[in-house]
Amino acid sequence: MKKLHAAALARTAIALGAAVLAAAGLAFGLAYYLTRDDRAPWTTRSKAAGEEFEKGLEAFTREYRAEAGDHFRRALELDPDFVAAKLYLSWLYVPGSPDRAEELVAEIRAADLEGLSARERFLASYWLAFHDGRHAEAEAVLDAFLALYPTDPFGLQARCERAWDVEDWPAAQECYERLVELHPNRVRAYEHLGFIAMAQGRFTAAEESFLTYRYIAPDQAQPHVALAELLSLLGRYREAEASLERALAIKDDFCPALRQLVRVYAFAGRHDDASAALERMAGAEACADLERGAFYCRARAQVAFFRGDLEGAWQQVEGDCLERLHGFDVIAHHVAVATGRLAAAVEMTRRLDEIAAQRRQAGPGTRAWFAAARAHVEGVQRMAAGDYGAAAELLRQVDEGLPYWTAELSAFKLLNRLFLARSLELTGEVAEARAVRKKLEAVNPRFAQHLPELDFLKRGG
Amino acid sequence: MAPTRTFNPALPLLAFGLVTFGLAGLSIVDMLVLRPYDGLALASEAAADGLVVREVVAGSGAERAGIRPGDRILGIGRNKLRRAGQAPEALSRFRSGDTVPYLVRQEGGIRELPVRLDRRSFVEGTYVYSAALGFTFFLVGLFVLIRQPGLRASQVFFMLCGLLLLFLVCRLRPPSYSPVNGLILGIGTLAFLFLPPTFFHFYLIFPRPVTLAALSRRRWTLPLRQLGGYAWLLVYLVPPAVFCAAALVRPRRESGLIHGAPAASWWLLALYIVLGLTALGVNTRHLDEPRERRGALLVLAGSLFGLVPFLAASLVLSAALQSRVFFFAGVMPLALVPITFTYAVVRFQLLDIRVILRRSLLYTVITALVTGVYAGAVATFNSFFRDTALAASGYFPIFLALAIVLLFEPLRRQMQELIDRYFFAERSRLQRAMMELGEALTAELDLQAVVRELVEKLPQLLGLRFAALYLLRGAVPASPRQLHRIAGPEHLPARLPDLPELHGHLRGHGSLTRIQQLGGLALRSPEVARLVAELAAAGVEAVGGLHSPRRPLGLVLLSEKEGNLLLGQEELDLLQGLLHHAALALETSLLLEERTQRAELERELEIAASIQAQLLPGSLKFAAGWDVAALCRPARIVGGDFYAQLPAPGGESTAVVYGDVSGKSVSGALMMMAAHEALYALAMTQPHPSELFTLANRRVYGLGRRSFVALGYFAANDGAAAAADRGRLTYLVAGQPPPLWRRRDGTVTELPLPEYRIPVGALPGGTYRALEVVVAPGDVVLGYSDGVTDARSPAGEFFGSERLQDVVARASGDPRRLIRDVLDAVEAFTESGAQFDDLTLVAVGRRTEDG
Repeated sequence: MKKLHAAALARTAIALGAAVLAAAGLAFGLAYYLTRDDRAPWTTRSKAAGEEFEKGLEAFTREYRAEAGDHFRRALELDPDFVAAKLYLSWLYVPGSPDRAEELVAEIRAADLEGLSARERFLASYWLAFHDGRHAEAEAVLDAFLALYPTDPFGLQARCERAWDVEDWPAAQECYERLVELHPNRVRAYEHLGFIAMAQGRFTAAEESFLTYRYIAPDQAQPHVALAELLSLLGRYREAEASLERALAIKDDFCPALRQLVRVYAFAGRHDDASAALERMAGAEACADLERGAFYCRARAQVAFFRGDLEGAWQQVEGDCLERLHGFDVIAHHVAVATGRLAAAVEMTRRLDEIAAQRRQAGPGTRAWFAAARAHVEGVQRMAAGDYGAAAELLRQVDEGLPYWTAELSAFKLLNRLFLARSLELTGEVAEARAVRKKLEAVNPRFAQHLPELDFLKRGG
Repeated sequence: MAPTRTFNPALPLLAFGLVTFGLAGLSIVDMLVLRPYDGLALASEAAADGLVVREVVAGSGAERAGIRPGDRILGIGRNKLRRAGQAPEALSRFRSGDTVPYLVRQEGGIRELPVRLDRRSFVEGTYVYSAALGFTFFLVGLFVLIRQPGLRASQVFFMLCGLLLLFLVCRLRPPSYSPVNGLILGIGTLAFLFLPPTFFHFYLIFPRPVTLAALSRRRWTLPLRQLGGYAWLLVYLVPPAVFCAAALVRPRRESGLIHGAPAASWWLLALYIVLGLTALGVNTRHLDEPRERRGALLVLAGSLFGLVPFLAASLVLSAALQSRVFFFAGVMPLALVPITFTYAVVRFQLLDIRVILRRSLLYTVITALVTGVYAGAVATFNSFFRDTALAASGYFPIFLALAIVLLFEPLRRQMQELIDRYFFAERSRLQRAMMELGEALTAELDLQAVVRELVEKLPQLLGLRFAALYLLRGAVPASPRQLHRIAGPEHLPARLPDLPELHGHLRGHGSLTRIQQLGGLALRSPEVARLVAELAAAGVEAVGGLHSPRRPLGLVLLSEKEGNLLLGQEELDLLQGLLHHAALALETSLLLEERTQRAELERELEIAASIQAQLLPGSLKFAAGWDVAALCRPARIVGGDFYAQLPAPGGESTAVVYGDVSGKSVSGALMMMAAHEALYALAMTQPHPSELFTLANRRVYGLGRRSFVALGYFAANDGAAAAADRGRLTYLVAGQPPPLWRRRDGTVTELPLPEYRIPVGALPGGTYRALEVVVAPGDVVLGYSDGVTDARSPAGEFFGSERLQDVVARASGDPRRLIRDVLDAVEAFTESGAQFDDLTLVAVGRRTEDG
């Protein structure tokens, strides 16, 4: 009897299980049918245009912008109504050919978006909203698209870029990690992940990301430069130089590489090479725009500073150069303090406050930088005034609050750490000073090797 | 009873073998397909920090690039990889010869390594060796299974060989990015999981399950024995369970893996191998037969020297060094296992497999080898002395040729002797022993000795559990002939039906056949089917027919060999010859026995006849004034008829009785004697014939032989009787023909018969009545048995009562002459031909006054 009962129960359980499975399958099928997008991801009349577009996308994903532009243009020639090609081409045109970009945006705006795939509709709406400054609407479009297609690489990438742009590093990191998990060949993700890791002091992870970036796009200059930034921060100047040379071998007038090369030489104490690199950079037509930002005078001041030629450095920055730098530069400030131009230093501090006030709406990273810069210059001034305790307190705040953000800012952080160690030594806090120096050497053992001996550091020491 | 349908495990095993062979073939074919090949084997499961490199093929592009097992592959061909399944697609964009950048995480961080893609070559030494070894195992296993499909050891061995094939071909194969790679590796891993228990199982029962039997007597094995077949299931399930447990416990700890399987599985393999080798050692030690012991010892040695290096190099060193460098060094000696196994089978007939090696073929091979050796030696010699004065000498080639001629033949002979000693010694011994047994049988005339040779010596010679001999006997007339067990174990039936179709089948199939091969005949004949089922149940493996040229003689039943081994074909062939010898010997001895018995019977009959003759009185007495004569002629040496003088109580009797017993020959004679003695004994106390016959009837019926006696009785008053009674003849007839009364004038009449005249002993009750007639002087009364009237002429005509009456009428009135006349007439009528029945005549005649 018991057996019969058990058998009946088993049969019932099996029947119920089968019914549940069938119902689940039906529901799943229905949901799939209702939400499916049976159109191809890219809407074009021409198969050849589609193929060109795919090639362009591949290049774009790897940040080969010129190559991508060629493919998109060919795709558009093959199908003049190809909205996605117009979209990508407009993005590419924004920095160099804004007029052409505007034309394309107008064409996109005039196009019938209903006939496009979900992804195309999203990209077009998102881009148009952004273009028009309707950021909230852009966010809404992005959210709606990702709610439907949470793994779509284009949606994810947009989300990551957005987090990056607003300097929400934790969100950006999480987003990029998910993106590369799903779409491992998105090189920009590796670059950004590398910089985020670098900022957080996770140098091994950063190196892996940059190496992966370089691995995927080896014939692109930027991955080599990104890696070189990290290497120069870590004091691996030879490797950084090699990486930059590889970047320059790919694109001999690649300004970020040249800028980085100047810095690497300066840090490494190769002052002649630094000067030569600077001249090479100045001669490069592609880097001509940099002059607008007073790059060269500032760079020459830095080279002179590292050479120990403080007067020479001051001569480079004072006047027009400093004005073009909005009246403030860290190296210029140090040179001013070191050469006894305290009034100039105070003026620079005032100008820094003004700039910070103007950039109140900037992202948290930018704001943090201004706060750190302010504390740093004040700390340096206190050191020069012999108030080492107050200086140490200010410099400690900077050390704790500032990330290793790019090679340039990381160098600033390390310089601040050096000053902090010195100020602690001068206040007699030897143990903490030793710990700070150790911390500095753990990041870059060669950092202090080629820095000029500044009077205000020596004083009282 | 219909023959039972039994499950034959050899068939699913063959199916398993087919699948195994197919998968191994697929692996080989996959190896032959040209694809760009980096020499990496990636773990199917990616680790958190990249794709795990499980193996790196020695000499491959990956190895040259510096990739090592345990490294993590992050990208191939500028493509970042997340899953091992993406690798084939990444590689498919390249060709052999291309140098492809690999992004690799190594101890010192991640780096980009250029890997030159090779054309994957099947002719990679290690894999060719492994594959050849695997197929060798498989072929040896298949051979063993085909030769001994019913033997558990050969079934398990075949399974072991199949798993080894999969392990060597599928598990140890070079990495491949082909679509079937996962399947083949998975199958190889499965084989690896089931290899240890199969190995253990085989060595536990090879060559005989001695250890298993010993274990089954131990108390601590009781729980396992209670599990029955499930105990084996447990043994087989432990490795997969350990594998799963290891995978669950340490899913991401790839460092604990050796060649893609958890270290625990490899250590378990080692444990099973050690247990298996121990079991084989114990088996070997307890084997009774030296031949088997030597063979098992050889396999043990081969297994030790083949498996211990495998364990040491492929497991211990690989685990300790986390390197595959020594792996192949461990696999190489594995070849010793199939080599020693095959040699042991060929040389020592292990698993009872007889391999017929053609001696001429081996001799040819040896001759070729010796020639090759000499050719090599000559070449070496010439090369060595090439520039010397010795080589320049004209005598050099002559001496060299002479040396070859002188050395070639002795060496060749030596090699042949070695072959004879190592490959044919056992076979020759068996042949010689069989021949000697055959000769002994042929020379034997004593049936019991022949039986002994067959039933006792044959099992010793072949290692059979038993042999039995059945001979055809027809004990009871009219009953069907049966095969009687003459010798053999008691559990065999004492009688078997004599089935002519079985004899015909056996005669047509060389006298000897396996019991399973009678299946076709069993289908046609239910009797044969019943017989086959009965014999199979009794453990009979082969049935041999014994036939002389003129008749079937019987059957020889042979069991399987000790240890459940089946008889080999070669042994069956030898046995067939032996059975012919045995049949001849049996026929001779049976004939001799029959002749002897017949001679003895004849002698006994003669003795019986003389005793019977002595029972018949030499002379008869009758009443005064009467003459009496009698004659009894048996149809054979001894007969059933008689006549006798009956005694009288307290005086001399004048009564005469004659009888005819149903049955002839010895049985008739015995009945006659019994009836004679009964009458004689009863007559001592009972003078009245009616009472006498009534009592005799009871006595004879009481003998229970269902035979009866037809009797006639004559008695007369003597001369001292009153005149009126002087001619009175008292007679009594019980089953005999009516006596004939011949009067003096020659008229013949039959004496009247009583209403009840049933032969004595025919029925339990019944009373007899004596009658009287008054016989005149010169009259004769003739009593006779039916042998007289039933005598037949050559034409088949009966003599008959009318012809008898005519003869009596024409005959003399003298009783003696009357009897002679009648006898003469009968003989004349039958023309002295064969007498069909005993013949008795008793005549009493009253003398005339003149005497």
